[in-house]
Amino acid sequence: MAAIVLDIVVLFLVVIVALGGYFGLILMYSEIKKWVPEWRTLSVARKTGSPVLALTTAGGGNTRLILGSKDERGDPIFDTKNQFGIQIDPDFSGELIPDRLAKGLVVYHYCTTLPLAIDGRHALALQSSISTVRDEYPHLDFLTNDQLNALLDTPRSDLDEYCTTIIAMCDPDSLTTGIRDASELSSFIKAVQDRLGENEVTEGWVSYAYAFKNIATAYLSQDMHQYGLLIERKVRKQMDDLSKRMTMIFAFGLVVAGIIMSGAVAYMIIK
Amino acid sequence: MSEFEYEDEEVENFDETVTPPTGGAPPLGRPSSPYAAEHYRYLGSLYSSDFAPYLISVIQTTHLSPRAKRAFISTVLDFFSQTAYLSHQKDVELAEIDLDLALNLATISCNRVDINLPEYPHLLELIRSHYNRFIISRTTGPDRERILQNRTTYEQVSKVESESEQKKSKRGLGIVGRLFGGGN
Repeated sequence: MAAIVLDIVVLFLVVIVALGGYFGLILMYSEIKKWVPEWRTLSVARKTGSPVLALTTAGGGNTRLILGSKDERGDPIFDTKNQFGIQIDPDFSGELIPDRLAKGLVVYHYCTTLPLAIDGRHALALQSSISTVRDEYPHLDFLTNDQLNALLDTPRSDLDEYCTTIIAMCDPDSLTTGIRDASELSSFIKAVQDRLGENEVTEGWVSYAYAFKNIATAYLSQDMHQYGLLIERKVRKQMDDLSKRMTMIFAFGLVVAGIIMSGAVAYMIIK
Repeated sequence: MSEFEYEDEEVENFDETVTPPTGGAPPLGRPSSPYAAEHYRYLGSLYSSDFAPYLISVIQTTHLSPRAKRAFISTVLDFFSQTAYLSHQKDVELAEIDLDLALNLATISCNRVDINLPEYPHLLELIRSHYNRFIISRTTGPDRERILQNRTTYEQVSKVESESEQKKSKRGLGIVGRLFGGGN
């Protein structure tokens, strides 16, 4: 039998090399874990072909990457464990051009508070619309971006009434703004609506956070999530009532059947 | 010339104050003017909320957008209507869920300025609390329509009496009563 003789020096070197390897692996893992926290999301998205959802905080601009997986095929919403309400798949919500990265990685841009995604063109259009109004209509500087967008989004039939409300809220100084009453504000807003209808989307910087901050809608992805929960609660309540009723009917049927059977047995015995 | 076009002479001679004849049949549905008699006005006040007109006036004076105002007024008119009072709800919770759904959908008509107003959450709470505590609680229980139509006074008393008499007569075989001289 041949004995394996290991030199102590060789053994020591092997242990040192192995320890070095493990140490390197630990360093690499901690580096990735600390500085590329999305590596798992990106790798799974590339492997499975699922999109990545970039969820941006409106105004703040912090963006989280979440895997856009689904509960079942054909589901119109992504399963994000309701971290930020409901996000609707752009395949069901309209025309949208996603960011396409190498090796088939698709990125959709959502806000943490909005259910619909936007793309770079939408962000650029919002940014160029607001900057056009701010550059060309200094009379409207007393309006916040939210108020301006709300007025621009108002149907013309409602514009006079809403302008009266906005004037009552803001009470602009007519000397500095040149706007004396609601009818003048209404005329300005109509002029801006016409102007923006012809406005070309300018090239320039794009900020999703800025765009999300200035989208006029107030119906949040959390509201949509709440709507789903309410429907679910209603259906569950109705099903509970139905099952209770069915249980009572079943119990009553059992009692009646028992009475009939016991009567039949008694009749047989007596007879 | 189509039937909707008129001769110039007809247009010139048109008198706006003259109302067209309504024919012999009386109009159906609710009366166009409220009942004048005190009794009917009293009944009307029983089946409606005195808070609803106030709430609508509050909505109209808020700084909400016209679209949001319309959505809220429609919701209030729907849930605070006399039909709601006269309805029979088997489950209060389901009615509350329906109101929450309606208020949730009303948010679609609001913009960011609307939901950032301090009036907005207050308005939601006013609608929700009044409906959940004071309206829907009146729509539960048996014979809702009959109770609201005030047809209960005599009929219920006579029914209670006859039921108690029946119970007395059906209690046992009446042996104890007969032995001790009581009962029928």
